[in-house]
Amino acid sequence: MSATDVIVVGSGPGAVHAAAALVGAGRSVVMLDYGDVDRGYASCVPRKDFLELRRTDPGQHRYLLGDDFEGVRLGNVRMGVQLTPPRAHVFADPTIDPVVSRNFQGAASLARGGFGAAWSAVVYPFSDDELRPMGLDLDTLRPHFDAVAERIGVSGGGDDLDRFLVPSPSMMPPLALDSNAERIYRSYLRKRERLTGAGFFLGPARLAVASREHRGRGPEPYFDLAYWSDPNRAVWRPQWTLEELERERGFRYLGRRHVQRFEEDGRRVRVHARNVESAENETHEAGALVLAAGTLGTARIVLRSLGRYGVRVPVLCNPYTYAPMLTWTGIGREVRDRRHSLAQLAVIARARDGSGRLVQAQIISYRSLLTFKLVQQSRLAHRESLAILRTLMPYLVILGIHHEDRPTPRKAAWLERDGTGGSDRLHIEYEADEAELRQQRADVRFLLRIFPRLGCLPFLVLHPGDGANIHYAGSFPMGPGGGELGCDGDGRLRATGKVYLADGSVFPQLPAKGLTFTLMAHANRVGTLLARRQVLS
Amino acid sequence: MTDLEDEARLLARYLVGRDPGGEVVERYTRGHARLLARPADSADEALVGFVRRHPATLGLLEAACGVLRPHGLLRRKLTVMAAVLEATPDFADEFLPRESGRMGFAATIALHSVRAALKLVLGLALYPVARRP
Repeated sequence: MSATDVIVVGSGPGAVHAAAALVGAGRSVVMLDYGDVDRGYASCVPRKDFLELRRTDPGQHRYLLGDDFEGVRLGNVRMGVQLTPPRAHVFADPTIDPVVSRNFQGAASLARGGFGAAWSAVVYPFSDDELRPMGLDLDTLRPHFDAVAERIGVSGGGDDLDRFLVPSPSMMPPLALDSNAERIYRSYLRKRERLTGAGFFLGPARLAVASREHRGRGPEPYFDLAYWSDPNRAVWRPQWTLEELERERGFRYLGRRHVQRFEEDGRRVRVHARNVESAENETHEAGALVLAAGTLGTARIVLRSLGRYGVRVPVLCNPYTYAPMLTWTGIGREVRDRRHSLAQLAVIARARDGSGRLVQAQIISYRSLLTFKLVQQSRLAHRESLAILRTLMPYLVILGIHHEDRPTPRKAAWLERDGTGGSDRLHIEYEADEAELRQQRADVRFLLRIFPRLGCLPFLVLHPGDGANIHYAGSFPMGPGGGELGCDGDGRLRATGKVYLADGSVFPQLPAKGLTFTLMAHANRVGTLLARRQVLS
Repeated sequence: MTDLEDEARLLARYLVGRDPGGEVVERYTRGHARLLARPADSADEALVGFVRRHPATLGLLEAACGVLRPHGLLRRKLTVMAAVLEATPDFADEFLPRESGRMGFAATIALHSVRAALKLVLGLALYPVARRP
């Protein structure tokens, strides 16, 4: 067995940045990863604009619907509604690491790139106030935000959102807005003084998308294909950083490994994994371990390794609300086909309850996720619904509202040992209390009252259910105080000597925004601090 | 021709007003086997049987189902056919966004809303009869 400084478990957004910081500092890293990949759908998508492809490609049913029709999900809007067949592999086979819950949509990813392989790419650095519960501040994390921003390529900035979302020196110019977003943004700029006075701020979304060539990727070709393929690799995915790492001498990627548990002696950490190709058990050894298997995956590994079956740990996930809106000011005006598929605009607003909380949302135009999915949710007859939706669609935008999440005794996960030799089951109980639900409704009402002033008419409010937006977090929170199932200021799990966490597990609470970018900065910090330790291997 | 192939043609003609062709029919039967293989509620099966015997009632009954059984068997079948048609270049334009002027926009929304409402009223009257096993 060769001497390895650090084992990293997982290949998602946290894993690759922890590994990049370690390898960049000259440390040797072995990455253990299950590594599911796309079944080959993405490579079938022609390099063409979405509309041209739809009218011309006779093979489109393969990647639009999937060979097993996995792109047709019957029933109500729920978790993964935006996942297309080329992205469906990010959800692991639920029998491998089963999650049991009555009301929480919990899923694991065993994909190469983890859930990051289908990330919506919206970049939201946490603010000073939002980092404080972790015992961190912006000055501490800023160099890591900058390092990650440079690695992934972030476009945007130079607008009213800069005061909330710290810009990084490497940021690229914003992507071009589509017609709907441009109209909404122009309307905002005309009414800017009154709206900002009311605590409402709007700007082009910061996106992990290269608006010009960056580290051999990009620029964004505006094919509206981000849900289906990766033209020019303009949208950052963890796999791109993983490929860079694989070219480094100090890095080794071992795929098809299903990590079961770890154990420590005085100087070393041993990681037990199953090789899913050979069906053999393996042991890997290093000076330290970084767990970045995704919050639910990491919870499973930690609880199993420490023998804490039945012990409840917190679980969080930003509740989410969708509100389709009609940009009525655009009706009858030209609609440009050239567009990207991701969030066009981001909203940050001060909550009306005087708490200083920020309410955050993003706006996308609905087109490339196919019309039948909308028709299915309509309560009108299909034929009329189709005619109406086709007419509405050029002017249809979706407002996606994130809500904050804080731990309560009724949001918990625990591991149950399987006595029959099968997989341990991770149980999740999640129940928001009435005060949280009231706050969410108030935030939605506040935003929906503003949008008519920007030419948007909200006509529906949809709740995809708890757990649906996959922002799982909070199981082993970092911060001052906390027990041994929490992390210290370096991200080390207190119950261990050399095990560090670099995924959503460490966030003691979630502000009303996506956590991925901050999670990556935390992982970069974990890797940087760990690399400075003198004795590893 | 099997019942399912007949059903595919009926649903496609209803959705896009044209015969779907063998490729779409074959894809629908595959999708049906993959997504709708589990036995359905007997009243749902009865309603589908009624529609097969009386194809002219499809629009009325699925309008009623939109309110009473939005994810019931008949509408699930229509969703599968809509997905198959949408992913076929010959029919893609029937599903792509359609730009219109303000008058055209208002007229389309109004016309189809009125039609949907009328179908719903008639469908609700027919619905209890059609679901009788």
